[in-house]
Amino acid sequence: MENTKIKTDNELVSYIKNIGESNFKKCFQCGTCSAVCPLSTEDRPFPRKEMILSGWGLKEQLVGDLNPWLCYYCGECSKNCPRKAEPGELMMSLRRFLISAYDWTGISKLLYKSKYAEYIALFIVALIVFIEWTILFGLSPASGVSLNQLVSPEKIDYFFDWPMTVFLAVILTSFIYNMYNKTVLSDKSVKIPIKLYFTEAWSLIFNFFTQYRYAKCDDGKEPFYKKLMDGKYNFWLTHLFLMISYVALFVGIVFFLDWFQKENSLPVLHIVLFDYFASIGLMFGTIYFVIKRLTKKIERSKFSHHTDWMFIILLFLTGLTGIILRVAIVYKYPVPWMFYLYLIHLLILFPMLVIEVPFSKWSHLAYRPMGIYFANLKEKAKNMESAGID
Amino acid sequence: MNESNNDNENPVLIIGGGHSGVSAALEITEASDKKVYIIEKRPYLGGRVLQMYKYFPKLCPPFCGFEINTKRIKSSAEGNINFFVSSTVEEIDKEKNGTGYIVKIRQKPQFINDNCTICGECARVCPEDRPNEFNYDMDTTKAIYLSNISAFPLKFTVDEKYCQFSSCKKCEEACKYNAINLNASENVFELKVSTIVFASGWKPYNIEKLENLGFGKFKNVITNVMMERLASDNGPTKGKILRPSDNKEVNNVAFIQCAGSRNENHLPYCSAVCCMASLKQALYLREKNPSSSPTIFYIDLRTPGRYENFLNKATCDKNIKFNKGVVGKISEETSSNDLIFDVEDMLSGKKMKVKAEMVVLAVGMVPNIKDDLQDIKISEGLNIDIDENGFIFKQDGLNGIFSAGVSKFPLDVYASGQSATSSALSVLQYSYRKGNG
Repeated sequence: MENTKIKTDNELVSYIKNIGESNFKKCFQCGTCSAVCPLSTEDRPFPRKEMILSGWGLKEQLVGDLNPWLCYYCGECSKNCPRKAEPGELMMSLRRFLISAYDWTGISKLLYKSKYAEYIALFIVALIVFIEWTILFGLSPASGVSLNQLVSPEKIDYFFDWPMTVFLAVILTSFIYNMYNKTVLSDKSVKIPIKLYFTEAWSLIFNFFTQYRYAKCDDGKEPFYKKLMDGKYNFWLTHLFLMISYVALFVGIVFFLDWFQKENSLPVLHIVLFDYFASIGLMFGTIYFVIKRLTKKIERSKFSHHTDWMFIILLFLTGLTGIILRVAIVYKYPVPWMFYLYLIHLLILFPMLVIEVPFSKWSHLAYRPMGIYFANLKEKAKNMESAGID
Repeated sequence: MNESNNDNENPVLIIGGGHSGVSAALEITEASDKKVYIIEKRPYLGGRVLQMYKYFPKLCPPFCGFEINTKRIKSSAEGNINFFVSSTVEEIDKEKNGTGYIVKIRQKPQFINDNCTICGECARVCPEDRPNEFNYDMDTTKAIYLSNISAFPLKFTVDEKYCQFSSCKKCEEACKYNAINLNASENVFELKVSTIVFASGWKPYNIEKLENLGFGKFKNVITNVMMERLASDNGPTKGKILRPSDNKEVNNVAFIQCAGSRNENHLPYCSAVCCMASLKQALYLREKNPSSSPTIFYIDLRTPGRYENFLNKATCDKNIKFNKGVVGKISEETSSNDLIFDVEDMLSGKKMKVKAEMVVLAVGMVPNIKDDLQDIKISEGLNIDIDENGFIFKQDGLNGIFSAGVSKFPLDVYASGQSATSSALSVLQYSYRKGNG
């Protein structure tokens, strides 16, 4: 008989313990969680396996595991766990762990470990923004000029928006490659035919824009509209609304900043999409999730890590200052007000994007659809292989 | 013996006339001149063991061992065993001088006297039906009924809840032996005792609380105790294992272990018998229906000591399947009343959809004593130490309070007998110390 060497990592066990509130060490491997999970499939049962991998600290398996990205914290596992070991919360902790594992800079790990590290990181970015602003626009606006003359959209684009967008794109892409490497390339059991990358690409886009797996959390047999009326899709739809609002605003601001800074609003589409739809989405969504996290009534909002709070509060404040600024522009408030509002807005916005998107909770916008995509690739490739063998 | 008189003045009260209570009573009376009172809630002695088809370790039918015990009760010296069926304890008063307890007993009216020959004429004329709790309500009896084939005392019983009494009285007229008196009244009396043994047994955990498992909602989800009745020749299906929804003989049966047990939201402890019970029941099924194929869904099979051999016996039968991984949620296929559930097979790492004709939930044991004590008035200065799970694990040897059987901790029949003997010895040691003190 061949001996299998198991490499355990105690440090990892305590790291996972610290970045969430799961009692995964209490798990006695009954399998109830995998059995009740509405999202796990025949070939990919979870989270029972993740419970023991975490309990033992099997780093290699955990880093290569895509299941945490397929989990949407429906909470059935936690509700039914006979040991109150909170498997749903473990999957959340594992997502945090994976974010830090894909990040080769090591920053994520620091941010998840300590809330002070997160404060400092946010502060450093804010400071850079402040210095940049001071150099470009000064701190005392000249009177009698328009906002566009004081803060030119071109300068904001060249010195703020675009460099940041490039930074985010480059660093996030490198993390995603790291993820790809750890979850797909290093898995020797399956080889993915090139063709699949293209034929499966729809799942990437579909899941990014619909987050449809949320809807599968409720596996009751009622028809769609009945579940909708019963509020079973509220969380999903709110999340979708918030995310689409944000994406719309992000794209809009990066490419049409000029329009945002003008008080006359020409295209009706922009008014409807940005001023109404996206602003409402941003405020409604963030407030909804804050309420859920405070009331702790549903499983997925029962526990909140400091990074969860920071993300949602920054998002709310970004939206709020952005909307006030926009109101000030449209209703022609005094220019110095706008000048300072603008600065405050950027002092919140930039730290949020630079820190939260690649290094913290917000990176799930990339990892979730990518995770589903990679899992699909592997599953399809395996099916093709076994079909070929038969 | 000199103290024999003294002994009779200080009798022992045994609360519960099941296997443990009766065994303790026999051990005490056969080893000494002590007098024993057994208080039994049900109208017969023998308790839950009588509801088994077969019991461990030798897989005997229960009436086998019980017949010997009833014979021993009947022949006990000078009627040293006194038992009161259909009776409950109302009050326990500690005597001020520390010599023992005054216990108030309430016995339900005894409508049927010892003239009863169990001819059954009364039941034939009785117009009222009642659910038969001996068979876990899977069938009915008349309101005047024989509790079970081993009934001891051997006579019919009247169910007060269902009998029409004066408006009917058909049974009184039908009885040729003058054995029925529907005007009988209840009997409240006091007993003076020196020692109390709690042997009040257990009940299956109320598994309806685990809504996901569908017990009470789906007809073909039953409990392990119901399975014993289905297998019993004197049960509701005359020993054929037929499922409740359509009385079809079942082949594909799923046994689900730890249903509510080892569960911090329900019963946090292991009842220590359910694994063996399910193995035993899987073998019943195989024996009675050779084409059957039961599957046992387990977390880990707990077969302590030599019971491992029994597990080997079950695993040798290739038609008994084992699946490591339990069930979270059961649903019913409406057309067939079959049951469907998801389960992970941990050994292969796959999740499967399973369809079963019947599901047997391995339900754990809940000690009765905690609930019983709520209806008993206990005088100050008497402290019955019930642990967080409702067992009397810590006996009070200084005050003569002991426990036996499942009142003490979860046990099977065989170990209950041992614990009864052990409590009997404790009782005798206690009175010996008192007598010499």
